[in-house]
Amino acid sequence: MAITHYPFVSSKNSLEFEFYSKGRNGKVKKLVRFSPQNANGTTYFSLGLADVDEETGNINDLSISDNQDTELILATVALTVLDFLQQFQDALIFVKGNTPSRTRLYQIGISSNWDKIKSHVLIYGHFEGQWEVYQKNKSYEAFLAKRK
Amino acid sequence: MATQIKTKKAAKSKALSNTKGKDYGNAPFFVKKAKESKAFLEKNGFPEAILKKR
Repeated sequence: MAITHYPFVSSKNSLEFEFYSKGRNGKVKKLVRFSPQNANGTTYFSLGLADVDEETGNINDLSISDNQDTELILATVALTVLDFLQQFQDALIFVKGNTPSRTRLYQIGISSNWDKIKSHVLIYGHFEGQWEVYQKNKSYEAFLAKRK
Repeated sequence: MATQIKTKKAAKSKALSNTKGKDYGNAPFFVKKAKESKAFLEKNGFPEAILKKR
């Protein structure tokens, strides 16, 4: 499986992955976090992606890096998901953007890397009030992923 | 670049491991996001097929 991506590092507890976006606006530190959570008695991990302010170390969720590297960022996020599921083999990962356009970005990330990741992960999409097995190029409200 | 961060190789992972990283578990952005996910899943549930396999 060859996915072009940014190199990334994981935290000691493997819940966080960091990488740098590089482009016309310079280097931007990105953080992917898998936050453990429980709903209706089922434990899962909520995926979050944010920029990190290198000076303060704080999360900057309002910034727009605009480095023209969305595909590369999404491919890197996809690989952090695969890596995380390698560490936590029974984990469920919930993915939903803060806005419909952000969710759409995740949709694009899954869709454009689908041929490379589909043998590794099972993905469900939430569509019109129902969960269904992910179908490429269909617009979903949210996603759940688990290792095959 | 990622190589500026002190790293060590982690077992089973393609990622390098950052042993000095800050823990963002309490960052408001991620706390809020996790709460929103919980609300969504408590309202909409999980796919039955996933629950059966667990």
